[in-house]
Formats: sequence, structure tokens, C-alpha cells
Amino acid sequence: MESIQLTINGKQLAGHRGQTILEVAGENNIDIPHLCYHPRISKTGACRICLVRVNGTMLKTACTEPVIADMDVVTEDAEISQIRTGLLEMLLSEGCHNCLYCEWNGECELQRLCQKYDVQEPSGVFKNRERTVDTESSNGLRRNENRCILCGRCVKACGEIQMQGVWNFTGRGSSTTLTSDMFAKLGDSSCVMCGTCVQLCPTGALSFQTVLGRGQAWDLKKETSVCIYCGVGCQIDFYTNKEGQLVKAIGNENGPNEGHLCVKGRFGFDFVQSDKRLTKPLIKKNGKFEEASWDEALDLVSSKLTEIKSKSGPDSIMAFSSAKCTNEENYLMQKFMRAVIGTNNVDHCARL
Amino acid sequence: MTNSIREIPLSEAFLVIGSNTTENHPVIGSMIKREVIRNKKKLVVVDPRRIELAKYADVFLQIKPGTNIAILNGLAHVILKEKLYNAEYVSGRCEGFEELKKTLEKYTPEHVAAICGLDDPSLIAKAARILAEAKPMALYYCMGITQFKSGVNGVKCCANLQMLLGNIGIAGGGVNPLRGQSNVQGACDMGALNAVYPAYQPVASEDNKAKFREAWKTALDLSVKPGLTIVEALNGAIAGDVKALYVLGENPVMSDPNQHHVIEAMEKLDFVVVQDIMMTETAQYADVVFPGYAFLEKEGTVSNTERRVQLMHRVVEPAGDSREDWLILTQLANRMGVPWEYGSAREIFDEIRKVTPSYAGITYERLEKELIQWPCPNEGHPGTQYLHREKFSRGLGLMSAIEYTPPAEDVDPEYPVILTTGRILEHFHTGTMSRNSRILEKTVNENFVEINPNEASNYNIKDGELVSVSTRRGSIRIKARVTDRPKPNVAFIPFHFAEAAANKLTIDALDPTCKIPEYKVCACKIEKINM
Amino acid sequence: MLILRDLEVQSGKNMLDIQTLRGVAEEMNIPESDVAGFVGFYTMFNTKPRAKFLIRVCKSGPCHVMGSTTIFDAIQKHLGIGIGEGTKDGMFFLEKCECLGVCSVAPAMMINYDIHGNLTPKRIVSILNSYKKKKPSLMEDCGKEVEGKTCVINEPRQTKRLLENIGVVDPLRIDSYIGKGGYESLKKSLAMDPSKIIDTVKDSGLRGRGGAGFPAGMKWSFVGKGPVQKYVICNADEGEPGTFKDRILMEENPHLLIEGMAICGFAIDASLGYIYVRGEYRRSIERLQVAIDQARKKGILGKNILGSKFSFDVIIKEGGGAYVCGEETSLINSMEGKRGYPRFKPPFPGGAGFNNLPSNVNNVETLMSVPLIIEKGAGWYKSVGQPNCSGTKLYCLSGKLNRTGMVELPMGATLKEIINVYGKGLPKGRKFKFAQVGGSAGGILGKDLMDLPLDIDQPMKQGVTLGSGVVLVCDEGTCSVDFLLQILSFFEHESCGQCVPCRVGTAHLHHLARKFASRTAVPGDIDLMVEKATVMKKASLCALGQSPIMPITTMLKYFRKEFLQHCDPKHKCPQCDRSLSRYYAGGGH
Repeated sequence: MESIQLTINGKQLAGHRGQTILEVAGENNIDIPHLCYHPRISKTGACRICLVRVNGTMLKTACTEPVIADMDVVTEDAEISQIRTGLLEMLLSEGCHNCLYCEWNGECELQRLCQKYDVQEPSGVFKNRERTVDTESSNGLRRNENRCILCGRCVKACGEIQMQGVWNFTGRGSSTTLTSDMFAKLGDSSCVMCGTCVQLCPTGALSFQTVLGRGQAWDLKKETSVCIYCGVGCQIDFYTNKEGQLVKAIGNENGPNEGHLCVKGRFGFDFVQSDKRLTKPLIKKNGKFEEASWDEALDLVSSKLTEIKSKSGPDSIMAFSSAKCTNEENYLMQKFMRAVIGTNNVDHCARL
Repeated sequence: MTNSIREIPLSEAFLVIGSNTTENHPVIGSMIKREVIRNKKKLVVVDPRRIELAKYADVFLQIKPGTNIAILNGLAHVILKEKLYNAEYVSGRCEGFEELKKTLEKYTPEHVAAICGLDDPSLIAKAARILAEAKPMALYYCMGITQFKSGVNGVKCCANLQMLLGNIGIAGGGVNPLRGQSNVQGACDMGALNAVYPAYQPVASEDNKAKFREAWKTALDLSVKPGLTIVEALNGAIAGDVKALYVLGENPVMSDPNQHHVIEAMEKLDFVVVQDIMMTETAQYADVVFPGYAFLEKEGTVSNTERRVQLMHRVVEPAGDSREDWLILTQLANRMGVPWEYGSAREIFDEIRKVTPSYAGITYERLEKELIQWPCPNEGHPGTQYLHREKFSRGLGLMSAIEYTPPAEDVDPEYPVILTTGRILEHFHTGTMSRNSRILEKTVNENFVEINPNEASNYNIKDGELVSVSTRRGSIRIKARVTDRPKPNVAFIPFHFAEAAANKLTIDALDPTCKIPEYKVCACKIEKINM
Repeated sequence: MLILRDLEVQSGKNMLDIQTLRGVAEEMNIPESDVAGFVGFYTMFNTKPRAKFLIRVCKSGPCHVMGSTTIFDAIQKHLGIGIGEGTKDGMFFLEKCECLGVCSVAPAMMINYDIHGNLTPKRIVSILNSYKKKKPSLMEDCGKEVEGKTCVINEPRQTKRLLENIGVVDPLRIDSYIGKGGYESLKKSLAMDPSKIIDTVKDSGLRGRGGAGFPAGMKWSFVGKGPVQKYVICNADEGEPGTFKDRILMEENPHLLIEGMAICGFAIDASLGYIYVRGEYRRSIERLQVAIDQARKKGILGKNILGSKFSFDVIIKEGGGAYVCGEETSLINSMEGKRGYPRFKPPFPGGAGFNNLPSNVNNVETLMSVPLIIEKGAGWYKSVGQPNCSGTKLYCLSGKLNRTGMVELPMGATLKEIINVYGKGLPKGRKFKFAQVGGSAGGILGKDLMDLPLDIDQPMKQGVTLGSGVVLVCDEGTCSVDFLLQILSFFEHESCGQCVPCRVGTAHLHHLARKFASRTAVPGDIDLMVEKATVMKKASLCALGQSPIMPITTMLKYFRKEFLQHCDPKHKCPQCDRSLSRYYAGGGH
């Protein structure tokens, strides 16, 4: 790929043909504020927050402007700050943004920028237009369009990643709103609840229904694991709250899923903390299960297996291993059957 | 998969056969949809049901369940006849071509259309041309190919087609089975199979036996006799040969065909141990139940459908007094006189590397920062994005001449409708996890049978009405969903729901080679329930 | 667009119900939300029932100045309905709309697709009565007063080039056009080297007549090369209030446009041309279609045109009521069946336009100049006009003049000449207050700029723009606040809503203008208005959002005092009162 030399904020940097200013800046840890841009979707260039100065004169959106040789980019100056502040003020007055009641508080990209540019509460001169609030119709997703900045990430998340095309804009100009399908409620729409629109939403306009626990953004702990369902092996960042409860699942972009999830990966994790979980070994006595200690249960199994093995031979014992268990556990199960019991009677549900 | 998920954008065309990808592997389904819709790639879909992908297909072949081999042979027939195959690839890299050619002769579009129940034979030729012209073309399949008594042959036919077209061993091509469980690939790799040690090393080999005796430092004489498969073991239990069963995280009462038969086996066994996270339908038959860890409580590795080995981290504290599955097995082994000393999953993985050549180069450290797909023979090896790059693992690619054989159970006047089973988007397998997840269960909480408007009018059934579906093995009551998704004379039932268990109905006919049950086709009857 | 228009006519209620639209989505195998998004964008469509006949009364600048509020009054009186209301018998439904492109006969309205001008309260009654027996149809049935040729000012002092054959050739007969030497330039071009054609156009100094004034030959030379499909696109989405020149040209001489497009197609190696005509121009659409069909029959369009190796055809695409689609990338999105959102540039249409393939977009007037240039040469073309703005320009005169209509003059005519010679001055007793030049996106010219040559470059230096050639003259009876309110309500209505500064900014500006009109503003609102418009100017994605600063600052330059007066709640302004009470009655924007 053809290398291109350019300057951003006085630093000599290299990009390559086809990259935008924002992409090159990002690779070099230069933060250019943006809202409609997201690396997983096509470029929009609509929020205008990422305007930067090119060659001392022109203002260009960094998310769409391709880098060219010897370009001189300045990402922040007095005029740019003023424009960004003006745009953020417009966005705040267009919607109804009260972080106190917002589940995205602390993770909101709009909030972060408003703090960065010290944007004050709107004066009230301009009234906001009431838009759709629907927090109930869908089992998985909540919509509060009064917090929407119409950046279009959800439209593209659904149209370019999930390929379901549930979201689009309708209306025009200041009357623009979102629509799911054809003016349907989200719960009645063709939404498959993959949650990608929520994952990409920069504000709290779209959020998840509570799965198990809730918690404030700054209290949540994140850990990456692999989805337990099908064989795609999606990597998921799971968030837990202070009490250790699972809160939400966000697709990890380094996995084979490239950040995407389906409804099961997104919402199908609370069984782990279900009260139906088995928590104690059980031994059936007189047709009824009774709780037992580990020693008791392990002793019983080992003596029974030893007895059956000596009486009926190792081939009278069978083990079903599990496609839900780890490599390590499957390895140990087959080793147990082969090297402890002495049979090859081990199989799992590969065929089911 | 011979190839990788991230190669999907490289494919110019897709053949999706026997895979309802957007529901069963939704993330891959979306990736394929993206290529087809946005990037105008070609798509041929072969399925008995009008699945979502059919909507975007250039050609959709709605075949009768159980006729995959006929349609695949039909496609290959056209490709041969119109000389659309990659002659250089076939002569240089494959063997068995002449025999295959002879077998394919009779699979004309007309002959195949008759077997598959297709009205328009010309569609077969059209599909074949699309698949032959776009290079590379990737074939994706799932249980709609394998869950037949001719399952292995179906897979071989998929391979035949891709070898003819020279699509194996190139990026964006391949024969790509979509694995249905998070670690079904790994469980196979680890030798949780009746006939092989880790990395598919046959147990019947004396060399392998010696190797593992040495590696495992065991005094026990390892058996060279292949063991039983699941369905064979259940038959063995009924026959009285199998006395004890240890079930680790499976639910055969729900997942195995012919539920009645499975329950009979469970009841016959002298001793049953179940290690699971919930009181499953199977655990009800146990003598001892061990509470294991759920996935978010575990550390360890899993291997996905593209052979990518990935690390799982502990996210939450374990429930109650449950224990890690490997620890339970270790403690049991210790009690049975074998001094295993594993302190963590990582220690077990270090042993796996030593006996599993394809995993030898993989370490936890590397997995934390690298994307690694086996085979990865040493620590300097980057892993393998796609298989059979310059030559097939066995040398020459083996083309197999395969004849179509009908399914075990044909329809008859008493059981006139073909029943096929599968999964839906919102649920998974036997429901142990998904049905205990609030939002998923709230979204879909009851079973249904999809029937074509044709059957609906024949049996005077309205959408949403309760019907009875019966086979020679059992009968269930279930809500009817009238839709043009299934072909006329075909009904579909998901198998996630214990209260109307599809596997009460399915047949336990097996593939002779790999013993996979024929879940995808049996004969049933549908009756209106008069309240 | 045409399918939807057909369905709407078929509905008999001027509506597209959800069920019908779902059917469209399924038939086209596209997401329902795409159809909802599309229908929601174009104001001509509605998913709610309206009536058998939909009355749209124009309230844009020229009509407003000429008294459109009295038209609403007359309709209210006769039918008893206000804006957004329908008669009980389901016959009529009233809406306000923006420019219909018949500004010389303002005020005007459109009933379904029939346009009527020179409205008076009396005329309205007779027009409405004539509809009681009519059946809705897509075929236009406009009043005689809007006929293209009657909208041309009959004044011999013009330099008639584009107008030479207007009223001379029969637009419905290709032979008539051929008889006047038509398609000779195309024949000549087909024998030329394509690069020579581009050179000739470059040499002529022809600049885009849509408003931006980009050199046409240069634009052609930027179209991507190589063996891919390329397109010639004619921008006939004439929506700038006060502009009606392209309509006259298309109605009266459609073959000249086809000829210009074919020459352009040959020059840039494009075998397909599209004309994107605004949906309101039914007569233009019908006449162009007749012309295309006749040209195809004659072998002038189609395979190997005129026996050459070059193939070329023309297809008409229709707009749906969106000013922003006059922006070339919005127009392309609209042609692709999408919401008319402008695209960010680069890529420019010349590299990746329609269907992401190289496309050249030119205005009607621009393309129609091409056959003349090829026929008579670049030197001839340059022989009139200004050094950097050669040729003639079509000026559209409207407002308070004794004579309104279109004239063709060498580039750089002054306001004084236009008003006095061609407009025959203001009506007796009326005094000039200001002229709006360039339409809503243009600026306000006071008496001091009477001698400014109105070409492309010189007005820029005075903070105004020639744009598409609008000259709307206002007398002293015009309230500057009321006038600016019309402009700013227009921008809010027409903003596509994609980019933040324009979507929110146009709403804020409109709100501020209403504060002045209702005399609830404070003096600081003047600065607030300028501040908002400045952010918009700097940050907006396309020209629409960058424009409002010009009318605001130029208006304030002359009439800041009037704005300050409007800050006083006791200040009397009947004009503002009328606008507020008439236009905002039915909710609306």
C-alpha cells in the first residue's frame, strides 16, 4: 500500500492511500472528537464534530477526508472549538438529555464531549421536538428517541452489520425521526434483537432491557470470554456490577464475530446466575435427591464405578463428554475413561 | 471449516446447503448476507425450507428432505457436462475422478429434480453455472447435510463439488461445516470420541497406544478396541451390556433421537452420574449429580468452527458449592487410585500440547494476544487460516463416487408427511441455557410445528391451532404455525422444548460410518385436535 | 418514485397507505424501513388520507410577495378549510407548498398535478368549481398562463440564443426541431474526437447555470475514464424559489436538451443519460417523454445513434418534492431510490456518482447551451458576456414589476437594466425597496447595488450570489422581517436533516425569525441568528445549510432597524401578522 506522509498537529505521520484523517489520527493516538463515525460501519460525515483544519484554511470532516501527501492537519484551534461547542449546543437543545435518568450515563459519547467542551444546559429558547419513547414493546431493546442525536449509527448497524434493515430515518429536516420497519413498534417489527444498534449508539437513545443486574458505568467490571452457544465462537465482553451480577454483554471486535452478536449471545447469559443452578452434589436415595457433601458424592461414584468395572469390565461403563465444556475438560474426560476406567467408551454430541 | 470466517468477504459466491445460517449461526449468516446484498455476491441456497437466506438467493432449490446427495450430484453433473470444472486442479490434486464421472452420468437435472421434488430442472443447471463461474466459491453446510443415515456421503459429495471446481485450498473457498456448539470442534480435537485419541489419532493403533501409555505414564493397558457411540451406548444399556453412564454437560433425554428409547435406556442402567449446571431432564435419571461450573465461571480454551482456539476467562464467581468440571474429574481419578495433580486448566492445556500435534504451538500466553487456528505445530507457527493449501492433508484429494440413497423412513398413507427438526434463533439445543435466560424465554416460550398452507387446508388446521404430531415412535401436542417456509408435505419442529419434545418423534436410524442419527427426516402424521 | 405516484393517484385520496407500501417493500425485496424512510422524506407523499384533489398553494418568496396569504383566505372562504384540512365530501384538501416554478404568474397553486397561476380570489372559485366533475389523473392540465412560451418576456433587446427557438419549434414534433437545424450539432459531434468536444466546451468558458458556476468543460474532463458504465445526468430539479427557466426550456424545446445530453454523453463516453425532473413539472415530464420516444424512433437515441458507433439513451427520473435534491449528490441518492441526503465529497460524482459509477451532472440550461457551442464555436459563445463568465444568462423576473417573466441577456446585466428595461419598472406609485437575487439561497440587493453586473463572480464580492438567475423585486410595502421569515421557514422545511448544523440550525433560525415576526424577540436575537448561521456556514455538509447566512446578513445590512423595531411588542406589522396567522394555522412547520 502506498505510504503517505502528512502532518497532524505538527507531528510527522505516515498513513496510506485510502485512509481518512480520522483513521490515521486514531492509529497515532490522536483523539479527534466524533459522533456519527464508527469503524464498523460506512462513513456518514453528518455530525460534523470531527471538522479539522486542513492546510491552514479549509475545514474538513476528518472522518471522510482522505489523506493526501504533505497534508497539514490541525485537529483543534479556537474556531474549531467554537464550532464544536456550537454543534453540541444544537444537539443538546434538539433533544432531552438528562443524564440522571439515563442508563448510558458515564458511557455516553455525547456526555463526554459536552464535558470536554464545557457545554452548558440549553437556555430554553429553542423547544425540543417530542419523539418516540418505547421502552416496553421489545423484550430486548429500549428506545428513547428524545436522547437521539440522529447520527445514523443504528441505521447502519442494522443495515450493514446485522443486515436486517429494521431502522431507518423518516421525515425530513428538523422533523426527522427514526422508524423501525414501517412505523411499527420495535417489539412488533422484524428486529431480531441482536443488539448491535444499542452497542453502536453513542447516547442512551437505544439501550438494553435489564437482563439481570444494573449498575453505574464506572462501577462495572469487564471481562472477555467466549459465547457458549453455537460454534462461531463470538468473543464477548461481559460486564458485572459491584454485587457481581451480570449486567450486559458487548461483542468484542477482536473475536471472529468482529464485535457482532446474535440475540443468544446478547441476552442468553443470565442462566449462569439463575436460582435454578445446582449448587450442591446430590445423591438419589429412595428415588429422591438429597444434598450431599463432595466427599460423600465422590466416594460413592468412585466406589460404584470401581465395582462395576471389576464386575462387568471397563467396557460396561460409558461417558458422554460435552461440546459445552472446555478443551481441557474434554481432554480430561477422555483420559479418565481411557486411562482410569480402561475403555474407549467416550463420545459427545458432535452428531446431534 | 477448511477456511476462515474472515474470508467470507473474499468469496465471490456461496452455496449454502442444509444450513439455516441466519438462525443457527446468525453472526456468520449476517456476514454472508452482507456480501450478497451489499456486495452483490452470488448465492445458491439448497434447503427443504424457505429459510431467510432464500430471499436473497440467486437460485433457491427447495428440495425434499434427505435428497442432498441427489442435488449435489446433479450440480456436479451439469458442471462436468458443460465442462465448467477445473480440469487442471482435478488432474493435479485429486484422484477418483473417472469413477465419479461415471457415477454422475445418470444425475441429469431431470432425474435429480424428480428425486428432489423440484418442478423446474433448469434451475439446477442455472445454479451449477453460477457456482462454477464465480471464483472462489465457498460451500457452507450444517446439520442439514449430516443428520441423515447418509450423512457422511453427503459430506463427501460437498467435497466432490468443491474439488471439481478447484475451490479447496484457496482463500475464500472451501468446504465449511458450521459447528453447532461452542466447543464441539474442541471436544472432537481432544478425542472425546469413541475411536480416536486427541488430534484424531486412532485408538486401534498399537503405536498410538504405546505413545499415550508413555505420555500418560499409566500402568493400565489402554484399549485398542474402539468404544461405543452415544446411540450405540443407549442400545447397549437396553441390551444390558452397558451398566454405568457418566454424563458430562449433556442432555441426551432431550437431544437424542427417539426419546422413548433413551428413557428406557436410562432406566435400565445400574448407575448414572450427571455433571451439569441445572437439573436437566437427563439428571432426573441420575444416581449422583455433580454441580459443575457454568461457562462464565470457567477458565480454559474452546475451539470454534474455524479451528480457532480461544481463551475463556472467569467473569463471575461460581455458584454455591459447585466445582470446575476438570477438578471433579481429577478428584474422582485420585479416589480411583490415579495420582493426577492438575492445579489449573492451564496445566492441563500444557499436557494437551504434548499429545496433540495440531495444538503443539499454542500457549495461553499466545492466545491472550494472537489469533491462532490449528494446525499450529510449534510456537513459531502462525496457525493455519485455511487447510489443504498446496496439497490435501492425505496427499491427493479423494473424490468419492456416491449414489443417492433414500432416507430410512419413507412416507406412507398412515404417516404421509415428512418431519424435519432443527433449531430456532432464540433458543439453543435442549434449552438448559437459553430457556433459563429470561429474555430469550420471554421471547419464545412454546414449541410449534411449521406446516405448509397446503397441509393446513388438507387437515383443516388454522394458524395457532393445537395439533397432534405423531410418528411410529411417539406423539406430541403442539401449536401449528401455518407458513410457506416448509415445502408442501414437509413439517418442521424445533427440538428445544421439553413440553413438546421433537425427539419423541425422531428416528434413531444411524449413519453406518459415523453413527449420526437421522434427525432431519422421518414420516409423521398431523391431526387436528378436536376439543 | 413513479410507482408511488401512480399508487397515490390510484388511491383516489392522494395517499399511500401502509398496507400498500408494505406490498411495495415485499415486491422489491427491500426492508420496509427503506420504503418508510423514502416516503417520509419526499413531501409530495403522505401516508394519511387526504382527498380526491389536493390543493397545494405556494408560499415561497415570489408568491408570498404577490399575496399568497389572500389565496389561503379565498380558499378558506370558499371551501371552509385551512391548511392541513380537507372538505367533508373528500373532494379537496389544502396544503401549503414551496415554489412551483411559475413565479412570473404568482401567486400560484397546484391541484393534484395541474398548476394555476395569476390567482385572484375570483379566479380561485371558478378553478375549484371546474374540478368538481374531474377525475384525478397524472396527466397535467395546467392553466394557459403557465405555458412556457407565455412566460418569456417579449422584448426584442434580448440576446436570444437558448430562446431563439422557443415558441418557434413545436415541442411535440421532432421534425419541427430538425427543420430548424436540430441534431446537426450532435451529428457534427459524433464526427469529432471526444476530447475535442471537451476542449471546445472548456474554451467557450461555459459555466454551470445551476448556481455554483463551475466550469462545465472542466467538470466533463473530471469524469472517470476506463471501461465502466458512465452517466450523463441532467439536473432538472429546479427548486430555487423564483426560478422557472429550466421548466420553460424543457417544455418548449425538449430536443435541445436531449441533443445536449447526447453530445455530453459522447464526449465523456457515457451511454446513458438521466433527466431528474422535479415531480411538480408534469408538463416538462410529459413533453420530454414524447421527445425521447420520438428520438428513439428516429434512431437519435438508442443503439448506434445516427448510424454511429455510439449508443445513447435517456431516461427520466422524477423528484418527490425536495429542494435539497437539486444538490447533485442528493439528486443521485434520490435517483437510486434513497432519501435525498447529500453525500460527502470526495468522492465527487465524476469519480463515483450514480450507482457509484462516474457521472456528470449538469443543469438544464448548461446542457442546452452545448449544441449551440458545438454548432457556432467557442469564439461565438464567448463573444457576449463577461471575461470570466461568457455567454448569455436566463434571468427570471418576478415580484413587483410591470412585466415579469424570463429574459436572456449577456452575462452581467445590471439590476437597473433588468428592472427598467425588461421589467418595465415598478407599478405606478410603488417604490423599490430591495431585490432578492439568487433565490432563497441568494442575497438581498439594495439600491446601492443597482449597477452591479449580475454575473457569477462579481456579486460574490458583495456577499450575494447570482445563483440560478432569480431576480425578485420587492417594493416598500414589503416587510423585511416577514420576507426573511419566509426564507428561513423554507430552509427548515427543505433541510434534509442529515447533518447537525443544518437540521438543528434551520429550525433555530426559523424559530428566531418567528420571534421577530411575533414581536417577542430581543435585540440579542439578531446576533444569535448570525451566530447560528455562521456555525451552519462553516460546518454544514452541503450548500443548503451553508446558505442562510447570506440572506440574513444582507438583509440585516439594509434593514437591521426594522428587526430592532420588531423587538418592540407594541410595534405594528400587519404583514407579519398575516403570515403568522395564515401559514402557521394548521400546525405545520
